[in-house]
Amino acid sequence: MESVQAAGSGLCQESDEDLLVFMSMRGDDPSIADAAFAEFYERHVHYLYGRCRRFTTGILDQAGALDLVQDTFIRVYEKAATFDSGGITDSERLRRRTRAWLGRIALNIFRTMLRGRAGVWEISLDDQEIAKEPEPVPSSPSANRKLLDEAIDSLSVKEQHVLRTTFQYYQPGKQHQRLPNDVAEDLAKELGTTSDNIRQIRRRARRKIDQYIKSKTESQSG
Amino acid sequence: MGRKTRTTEQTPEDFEGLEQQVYEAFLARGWIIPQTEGDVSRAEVEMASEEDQELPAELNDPYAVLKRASQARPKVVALNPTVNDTPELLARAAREGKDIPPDIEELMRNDREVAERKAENDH
Repeated sequence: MESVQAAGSGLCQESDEDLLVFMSMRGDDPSIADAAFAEFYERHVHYLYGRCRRFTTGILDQAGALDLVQDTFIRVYEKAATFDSGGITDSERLRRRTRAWLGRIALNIFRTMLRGRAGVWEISLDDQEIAKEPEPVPSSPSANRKLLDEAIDSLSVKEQHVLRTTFQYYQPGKQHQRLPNDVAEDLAKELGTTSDNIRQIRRRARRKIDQYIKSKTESQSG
Repeated sequence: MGRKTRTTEQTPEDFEGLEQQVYEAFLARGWIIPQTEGDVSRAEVEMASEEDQELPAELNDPYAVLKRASQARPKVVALNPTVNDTPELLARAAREGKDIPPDIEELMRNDREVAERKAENDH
């Protein structure tokens, strides 16, 4: 361990991309790879933990959120070679790109965890898909974010839970999206209902949001 | 029975527009993890005050996380041959005519001695 820490002390100036390269060469020099991992971990663990805790609240317990963070970093170590920097050299932008990649890995593991609730833990990642950053979608013209937030808050706990879980599979900018059958089935099992009912709850929740916004907008303009 | 009008109903296109807005609202609430540089940038600003928050003990040591990796994932291929694997490995080494490592050689010698003793006892 001493040699690993000593090796790590010189890595704090390295970019995230370089640290990932060191990790990907763990077969040649495991101690440098481990030290690079430690440096990378120190840089991003607060961010990732903060994000994971927020987006899993009410869906995973504390232990589940910790597992998600740890498993994401383990996956980073194993798949370091798949990171695509996109040629970015600016350290700020590279950090954001790295964290976006971490987010996609975490989301993929989270989806697997949701599906693994009733069965076997299984990782099925498409590395290429995760490596590629989604095209940024221009913000949709929302008349009033405050109204939208109020509308979301007005939903029942169950409706919020269904929407939150199903939106983990939403792909921004993609047309005609459908909720995958196995996701609906797993969620139905969790909530003790049917997958048809899950779809109904989802539709009802969206309709409620829409109606809330329309009614408030009309009353404001009238 | 007359046909239902859809004046107050949403078309699928309307729903898609709404879904994008809900997605963005969820992102802003932290209910969806950021997956693009732009989303990360917004999240970092929002959570600047949370950065100093103390980590749970389980996340303090990166080396413990690495150790968990080696413990949690059973290897498909055993790196250390079990006793039952040894004869096959020895035979393969012999067939391929490569140098035999000292530890394998020691195992072979032991096996041979055991076999010889067994043969003597049988007679």
